[in-house]
Amino acid sequence: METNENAAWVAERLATLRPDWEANPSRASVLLKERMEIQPRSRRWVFAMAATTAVVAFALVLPEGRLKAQELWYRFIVKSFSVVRLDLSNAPLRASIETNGPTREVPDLQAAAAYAGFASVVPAGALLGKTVVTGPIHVKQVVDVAALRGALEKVGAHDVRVPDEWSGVTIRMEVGPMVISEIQGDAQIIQAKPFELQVPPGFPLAGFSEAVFRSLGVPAWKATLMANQFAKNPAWLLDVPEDEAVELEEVRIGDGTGLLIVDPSEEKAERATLLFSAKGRIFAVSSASKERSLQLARTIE
Amino acid sequence: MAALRERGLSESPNLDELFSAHYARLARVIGRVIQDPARAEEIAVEVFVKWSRNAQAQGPAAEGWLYRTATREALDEWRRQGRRERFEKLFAPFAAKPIDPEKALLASAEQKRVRVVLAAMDKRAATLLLLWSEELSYREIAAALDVNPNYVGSLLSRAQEAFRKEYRRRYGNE
Repeated sequence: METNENAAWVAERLATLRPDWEANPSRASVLLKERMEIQPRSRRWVFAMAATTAVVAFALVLPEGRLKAQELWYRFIVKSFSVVRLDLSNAPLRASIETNGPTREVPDLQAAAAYAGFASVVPAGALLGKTVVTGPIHVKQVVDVAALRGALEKVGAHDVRVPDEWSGVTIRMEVGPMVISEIQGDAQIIQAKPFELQVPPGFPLAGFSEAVFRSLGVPAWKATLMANQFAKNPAWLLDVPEDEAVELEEVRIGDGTGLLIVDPSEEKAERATLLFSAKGRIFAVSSASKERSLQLARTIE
Repeated sequence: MAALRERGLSESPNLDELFSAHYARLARVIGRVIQDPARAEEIAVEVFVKWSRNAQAQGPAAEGWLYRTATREALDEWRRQGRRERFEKLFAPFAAKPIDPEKALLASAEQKRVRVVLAAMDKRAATLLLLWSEELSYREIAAALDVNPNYVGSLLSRAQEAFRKEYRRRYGNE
């Protein structure tokens, strides 16, 4: 009886919050479409979200001489990381991301291996929380000549030539499957096999990439410099805009280096994500502190 | 999964399916906490954007994730608004824009009390009460809280009791 009386009393109070307006799905649908077109400005280093920008950036580092006309697609394996202080989400390209197959929660790492097609590596003795496996993600970038020319015009890069033949050229990126494991509370490890980038043979990727960077306002000399640097050491290039307050640090992980990104979010606790490559996998280890992310990474390196 | 099919949704519903099926109700749940309809709708849209970018949220548990996230986002936003208001009051003499007295009166005293109590409660209990008041079924509430539907009744009783206790502690026996 008391429960019913309680329920009625609480219901009466909560009823005061009932909105006297109806949501407008048409307007919201437009807003949703706009928001979906904007690449997230933070945590883009999480694989699926970063993949689109990685494709653009990678185009810069691919030596044209490696392309062979007899192959339908040329494949590149992408397994290290680097950063540019740019906002590549403004690049004038048509991008689409498709996930293939459902995301499944799995009971253990054996099941994860069966779905993902590779064995996961986690810190020895770690208390595992939920583990999910995503399907492979296909990222597609289609060159839009008119949009690229328009963007170059807008920034005054009149010296950059965009030939008509580039129109509709497609660059693809295959990401995943990924295994995402929660570790002891708030830490998370994402792992995947190195990504695969596919480009049509004969397409002048370096020239195209330079045009994309110039369209974003990068001065000619700097675009060339960046191209040379990345050509020496091809890497998955992540864009972090200048105005984004993140701390970036290169750290030693085993025989190689990792990229540590600390995001001091305004409303939530700091988030430290460490990207590195080891044991034939790409890893993103994130937690609430640098020290914890490093410690976890070092136990799986 | 059968429940998803009953509502015409696939086992791994996509963004369009979920948006059509849940947007309006999700916006209303948020609107219970956020006074401004435009802001409530923006937050609802943002919840769908977050869902689409969160691989772990996708699959059969998508609906539960959406409602759980919506109520939490709404309560967080309400708390943020409160912090901003306090800040604005502190700096009112220097603020470019004075506090709008009309806006301040929009929320009735009772609405404000209910929101204060919800924001002070355990997030899970507050989520449960908000979804219950929006007349979600026990099955839907269970999905949002990630609990067995058989437990919803007892969790609800406890949440109601906690709400009343907190309300009385703050505002007396009214």
